[in-house]
Amino acid sequence: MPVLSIKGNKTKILAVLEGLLLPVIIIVAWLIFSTLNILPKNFFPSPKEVINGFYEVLSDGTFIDNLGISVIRVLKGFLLGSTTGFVIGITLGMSRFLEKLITPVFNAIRQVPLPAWAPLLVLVSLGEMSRVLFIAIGACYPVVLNTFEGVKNVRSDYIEVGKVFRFSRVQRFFKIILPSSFPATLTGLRLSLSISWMLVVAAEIFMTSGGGIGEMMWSCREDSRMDLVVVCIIGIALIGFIMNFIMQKMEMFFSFWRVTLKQSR
Amino acid sequence: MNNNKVAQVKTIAIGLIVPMLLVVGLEIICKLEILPAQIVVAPHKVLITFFELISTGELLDHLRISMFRVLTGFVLGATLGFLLGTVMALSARSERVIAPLLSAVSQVPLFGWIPLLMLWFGIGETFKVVFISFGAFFPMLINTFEGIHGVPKSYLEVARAFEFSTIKLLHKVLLPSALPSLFTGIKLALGMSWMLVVGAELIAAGEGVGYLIVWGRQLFQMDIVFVGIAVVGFIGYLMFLTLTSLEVSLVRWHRPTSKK
Repeated sequence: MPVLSIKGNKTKILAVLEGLLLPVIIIVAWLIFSTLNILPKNFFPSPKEVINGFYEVLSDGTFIDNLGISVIRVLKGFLLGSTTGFVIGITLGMSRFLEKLITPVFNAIRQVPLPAWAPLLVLVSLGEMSRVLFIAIGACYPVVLNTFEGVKNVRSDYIEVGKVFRFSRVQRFFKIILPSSFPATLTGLRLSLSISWMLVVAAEIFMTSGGGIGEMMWSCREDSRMDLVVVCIIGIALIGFIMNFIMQKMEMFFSFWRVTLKQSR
Repeated sequence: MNNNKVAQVKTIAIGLIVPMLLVVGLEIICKLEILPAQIVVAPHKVLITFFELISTGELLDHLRISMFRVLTGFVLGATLGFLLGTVMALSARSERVIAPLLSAVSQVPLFGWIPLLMLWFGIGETFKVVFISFGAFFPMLINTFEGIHGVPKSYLEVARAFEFSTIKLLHKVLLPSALPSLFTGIKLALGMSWMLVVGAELIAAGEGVGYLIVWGRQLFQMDIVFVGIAVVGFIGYLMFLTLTSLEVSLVRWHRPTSKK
């Protein structure tokens, strides 16, 4: 075993090195090109400029402020959308009649590409609420779909056991349906959060004047501050990565009972 | 048999209840002028606007332009995604070299690329096509990779036993068994492209369905906005349906050969 693990470590290190190959090449090329002034400065800022730009927006607080605004906005939209989605998903899953009643409308609405809602929401002019609603629309779909699937896939013997125990509707929901569909809901929530984060950038570009990292990028573009645009992109990617990471950990943490479900089968 | 049909009709009828209530409700609200015309618009007015936009040819012009953008961006992005996905699935080393960089790049929310791409490519067609291709690239890459990576080892061994050439291997073994996954990738990629073309046209365009919606907003004409939204949704759905039926016919064609 020890021999194997050393070999494993070696291949691991090698794999990491191989993974770093392309980024290193790109950064070196970037350094060379920018010091030789081959590429137009407006289009390709040098790494030094990007770092200076980063210091600039970090020290005057605009970067953190705007990121904060976006994160809070995303959380609002995500909470609104995912709660609504959860309620819809559970209701559609539990009632055949409501499923038949609502599903066609839901599916029709879902066909509309998300950005298309932006002008409508602008026209309704609810200010900050427009942006939150825009995010909530996108956040709602995956939660509805996954929760619905989760409820539909609750094992029928569980339901039957509930019947034997004469569970009330409420009991059946809290003791059987909610726990066994929750892992599926979590998958929906993870997708939902990553869509929300994508949409907040769109919301801030389509519906400006509320601050946020998207709007910051947008005004940097108007000022042709390419270095700051790059800083913003990295910031957005990092926050998105962290959010996804947290959700994945949560999904893994909660999936222990999904595993036991599979084992009992 | 007959019972089944009755149940089907019933399901459809129940499904129509909410839309009908919506239409009637909106008509009443508009008739009584309960809400400002800027926010709600009578469904019959939307229909009239729809036919007007069709008869002047305006709608079809916008659609044609958006379609062209989507297809160019989609073909570009999906082809690249397919090629790279195949290479990564066939060679473990190339996967180790390329995957980390790609996964870092994919962390950026798609709309986050807009300002950068606009600075690089301006606000013209190039910007839109490149932006759309970004959206098509990742789903195609991931699904191609998973499809080809997931080909059962025994298939590959059989192919080796028959001494298939690389091209024959790709054509006879890898592509057919990766087909369902490839279709998933194509569907996701096209859906994403369609979403992004609307997004791009909202920001920077003088034509296209996304622009139609923005134009309606600028004129404060809710009916145009609604026509735009409905058409965009319908076309997106139509593309999805086309791909699904194509998938069904292709997979059916491919099933018997895989059984042999």
